[in-house]
Amino acid sequence: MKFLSEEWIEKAKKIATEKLDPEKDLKKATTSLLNIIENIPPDGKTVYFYLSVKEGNLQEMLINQSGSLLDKNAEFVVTGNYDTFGQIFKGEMSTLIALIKNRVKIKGDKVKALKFVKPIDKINDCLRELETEF
Amino acid sequence: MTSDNVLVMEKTSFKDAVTIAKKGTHCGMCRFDFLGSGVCPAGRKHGFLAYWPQGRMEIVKQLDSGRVKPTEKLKDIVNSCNLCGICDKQCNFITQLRPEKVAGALKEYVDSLDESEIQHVPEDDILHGLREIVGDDWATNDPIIISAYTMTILPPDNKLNYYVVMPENTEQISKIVKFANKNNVPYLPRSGGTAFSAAAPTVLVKGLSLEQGIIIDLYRLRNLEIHPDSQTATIGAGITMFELQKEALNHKLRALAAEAGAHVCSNILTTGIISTWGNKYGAFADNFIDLTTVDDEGNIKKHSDWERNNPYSTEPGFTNLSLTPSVIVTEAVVKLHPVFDDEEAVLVPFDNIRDAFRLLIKLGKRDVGLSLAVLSRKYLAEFLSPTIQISKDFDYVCKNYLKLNYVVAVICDQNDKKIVEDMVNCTIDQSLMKSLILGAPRFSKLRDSEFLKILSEEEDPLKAIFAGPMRKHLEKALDPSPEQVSKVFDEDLQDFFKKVYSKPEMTDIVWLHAFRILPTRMMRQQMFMGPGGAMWTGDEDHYLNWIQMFADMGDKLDVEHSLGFISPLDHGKFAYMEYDYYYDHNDPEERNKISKITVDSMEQSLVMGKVLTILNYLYKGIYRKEHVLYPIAKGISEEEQELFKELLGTVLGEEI
Ligand SMILES: Cc1cc2nc3c(=O)[nH]c(=O)nc-3n(C[C@H](O)[C@H](O)[C@H](O)COP(=O)(O)OP(=O)(O)OC[C@H]3O[C@@H](n4cnc5c(N)ncnc54)[C@H](O)[C@@H]3O)c2cc1C
Repeated sequence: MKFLSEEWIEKAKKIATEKLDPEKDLKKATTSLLNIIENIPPDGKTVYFYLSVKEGNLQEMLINQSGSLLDKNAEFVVTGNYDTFGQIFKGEMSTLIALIKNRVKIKGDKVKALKFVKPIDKINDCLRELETEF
Repeated sequence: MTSDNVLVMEKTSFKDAVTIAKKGTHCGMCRFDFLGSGVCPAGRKHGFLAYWPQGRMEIVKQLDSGRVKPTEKLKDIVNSCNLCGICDKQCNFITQLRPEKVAGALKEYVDSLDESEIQHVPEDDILHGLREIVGDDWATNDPIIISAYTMTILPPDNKLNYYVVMPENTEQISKIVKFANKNNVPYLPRSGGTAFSAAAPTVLVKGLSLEQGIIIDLYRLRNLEIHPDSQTATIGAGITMFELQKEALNHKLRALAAEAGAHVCSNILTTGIISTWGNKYGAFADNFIDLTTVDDEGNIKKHSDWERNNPYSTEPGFTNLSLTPSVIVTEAVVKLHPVFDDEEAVLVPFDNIRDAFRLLIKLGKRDVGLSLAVLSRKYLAEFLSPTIQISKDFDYVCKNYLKLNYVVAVICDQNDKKIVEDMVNCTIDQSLMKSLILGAPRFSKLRDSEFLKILSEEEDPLKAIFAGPMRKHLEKALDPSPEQVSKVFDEDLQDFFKKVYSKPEMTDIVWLHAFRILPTRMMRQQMFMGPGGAMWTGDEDHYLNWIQMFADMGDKLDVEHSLGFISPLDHGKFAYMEYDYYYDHNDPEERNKISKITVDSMEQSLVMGKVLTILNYLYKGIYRKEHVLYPIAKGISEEEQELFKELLGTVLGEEI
């Protein structure tokens, strides 16, 4: 299943809802995040990947290429290229390392963002169970 | 070097070469001509680190560990070296190592290889793309060439999944960045490698180094022009601090000085140039008139472009951490400062840190002096001593007999000299410092002498030795001369070192402060890590408690430690402090201890507050100091401390 394909998103939503514990894994967090994934091969397009959680429950997981997800005014917007997101999803690089190495840029309150890094890494850990082709 | 010399040179086995190479710490001093002996011709010609003495030493280690196999390029690397011996002179001065022996052993090793042992390296599209930008000679994916960058941009254990590219101008760098982005390949610039080498053995390596991708080696950006009228210099990213300083001095000008082998553009960006001259000459964006940068999309920008968003400000707060540069500085127009005819060095000795600190800040607030710092006893011992043993004995004598634990070192004109002298009991003048440099071997031998026993019984040994009747006895006992100091070096290098020590600048404290060729002696055959930061000076106890916190950590983990230096900033309102820990970089246990100290000391500093730690300092040099240092940081809350711990834990990725 191709990373970030419609099929992948559907499965991702399902597995995250099933497997993640709102309290233990997602720390009862309420927040929203828009990942802007650039330079996707082969033609270098950009994909927008939005997710929101409320009280630790996954609410929305959406993906498109039009940029309309920007209108959702996510609390955090993380921008980076395909390879970096690939590494993050594969668990080869943590979100924080990517941030501190300037591989991704983040918009939003940094202290707050730090609080959400663990829950977000939990989501990534869980999505890693999907058979993904990068 | 003639072939005769090759014949007389004793052969070094590969195993011994590995032992020598492991003692190396990548100070990078072999890449510029700081002794007037010339510089490695092969390195100069081919550029890639593998062709420099430092790189050959790393290759020997990498071959020995089996991480790389010989390639065709390895033959080229050994053939490019004619064993001229320049590296031995340079390296011996700093570290007492002999890289030429390593180069010789590497040659032997390659000569003994069978053709079948030479690995073929396939090219790929990324390499072709890079070569299209910089030309065939300046991009490679050869694992041997790449392995030479280990510890100075590459972590020690990763697969050698890299390219190295050596652009020669800003446009090429812009194209490389665009090309890397398009192909989803990470990249990182490399200059002198001095920050990388200090971080490499520690937990910081993961955050600072490149895990795969393109190493952009900036050595070829070697433009250097002095503009005497505007007292500025235009410098490319390949120019070291030493090279700039030398050219500036030809025009009776001086640059804000830091580590001699650091490239100036890199130093501006990484730390804003932390320097003992910073109170007078400035810090961060004070250093330059303009910068040319390439951003992460490959756009070329100048700081002076009035239409762009403010490039001088940065986000405040402890979460503003970055371990890689946000832009590549390809060229800088830096400020230079006049050198005055009546400059002199005045050193005020102290037995305790409080009095030394108090004087320093008083002078800083009054803007007295051009360069201003408290230097520790350990610094004096390391810098002035030509060998490791002499530095140990030097330190012992200062501590146990003279009670010389700190000096406030002031470089100033005659007016300021008078001000300082009126404020203190006694000073160490230029002539006595000269004697200490040329007489260091004898000074260290005074250990346990009758002379010192008598001296230590004086009520104020510092005054007695530097301003009292004992001074002339000391000068006599030191018997200082270039000949004497050169005798401690290997026999075949003694004539050379006699000439080196005969040069006036080698004993001129003003020159040594500006050209800074001695500090890398701190990393001779061992490593150091110097955490610290800039703290507000308004509360003396707070500042001194902060220093004590570092000392306690060293004691607790049983690591050799000492204050390094303290230097005022922004008219004495802040002072930068470096606290140093010395350790064996080949010992994993020692490395773990240093990693723990690095992280814990940072955390404790943030809790104490009123400080910008070195970690928060990093990569902020292109911003205004007012935006980096202010608002004065508050101590972080317990909740924030937890977050910081978590942040470092994740970033550095180890249970420390
Ligand atoms: C013995 C010793 C003494 C030192 N003393 C001082 C001191 O007094 N003051 C001080 O400020 N520092 C000091 N340092 C630290 C070090 O010299 C500085 O951090 C310096 O900036 C490193 O320069 P470099 O050319 O060696 O950079 P490197 O080690 O090659 O690179 C350092 C970082 O900068 C990045 N980089 C390199 N070039 C550029 C560029 N042109 N544009 C953008 N990013 C770039 C690299 O990717 C890397 O992240 C000392 C280090 C040592 C080992």
